Amino acid sequence: MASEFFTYLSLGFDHISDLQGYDHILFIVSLCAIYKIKEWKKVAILVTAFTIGHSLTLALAAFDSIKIQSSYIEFLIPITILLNSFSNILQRNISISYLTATIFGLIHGLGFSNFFKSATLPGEGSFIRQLFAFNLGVEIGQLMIVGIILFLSYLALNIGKIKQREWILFISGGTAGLSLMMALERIPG
Amino acid sequence: MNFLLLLISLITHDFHVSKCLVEYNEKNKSIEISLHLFLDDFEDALKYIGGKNLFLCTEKENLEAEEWIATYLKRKFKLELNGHPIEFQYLGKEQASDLMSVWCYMEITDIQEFSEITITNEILLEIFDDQKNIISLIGPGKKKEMMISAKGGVTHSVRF
Repeated sequence: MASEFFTYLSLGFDHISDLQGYDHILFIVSLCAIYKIKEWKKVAILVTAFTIGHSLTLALAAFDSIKIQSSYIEFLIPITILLNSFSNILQRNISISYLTATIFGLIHGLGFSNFFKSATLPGEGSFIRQLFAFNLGVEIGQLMIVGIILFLSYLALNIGKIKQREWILFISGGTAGLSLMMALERIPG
Repeated sequence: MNFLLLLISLITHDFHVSKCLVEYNEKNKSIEISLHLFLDDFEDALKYIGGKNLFLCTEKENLEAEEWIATYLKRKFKLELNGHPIEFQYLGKEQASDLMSVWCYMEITDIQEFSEITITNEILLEIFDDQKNIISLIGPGKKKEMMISAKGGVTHSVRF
């Protein structure tokens, strides 16, 4: 038993950190792959750009202002991961632009909204509270994933003495492969 | 090959969630229950208990569909007031506006005053390990509570 706020907070957190449906995790992994732990400020700005994108579409879709068939969204989500992974591999030192992160966020937000809409319940004025709590839960989950990735990269680069280029190729190759599989699975029919 | 199958089954991003509003109506001395669940999941669950080819919410809907639904809901959704089990009546269903899901309506009438309600919601838990059933409860005095039934915790009691 819990309050409405914590119920939706935990739903948001569980939704993004769910290992059964790890597409959002994979995107954040690929977003963080090219950074070292000391560049955390850049990562924070990049992740915030992604957040602005997905908060916007989550809110719009939650209020039924936009409607896009979920099969297209579920297909586009792994495409964003694939593009981001390629960009990691190709552009050695140039980070993905904040604008791109925002645009990719727009797509992921539509994905969140499919889940949120099937979990939200009627009640006087509680919809906005549920949306806010869900969003906050997603953010906490996202920050946790960022923290884990940067920590792993610290272990690999500083303790394991792995070259950064090799680390980027390893992580981005993994995210590219998995997201390609996902995209093929989800081609809208 | 098995690994590949495992991988494919892991990357499908289905989520399994139902939501349910349980509202006490003080004036009518009744409890009204609205349960929202995905049609494909629901059909899987009904097939599992024997209700095959039901074609819920289509023109081809099986004549026995409503009976199977009532049987299933009574088996998986239970209410107690002050520790005493209480039967609800299944009223009917309505396809949701997204066409992918359905609202089921249930009701309990002639309720005596109560100070504790216990809800057991095992809907679809036998089908999906990651099923989450969200319950919003509006009790006496419009007091609101919220809970999630999932593997490991399907029964919740609320005192008023």
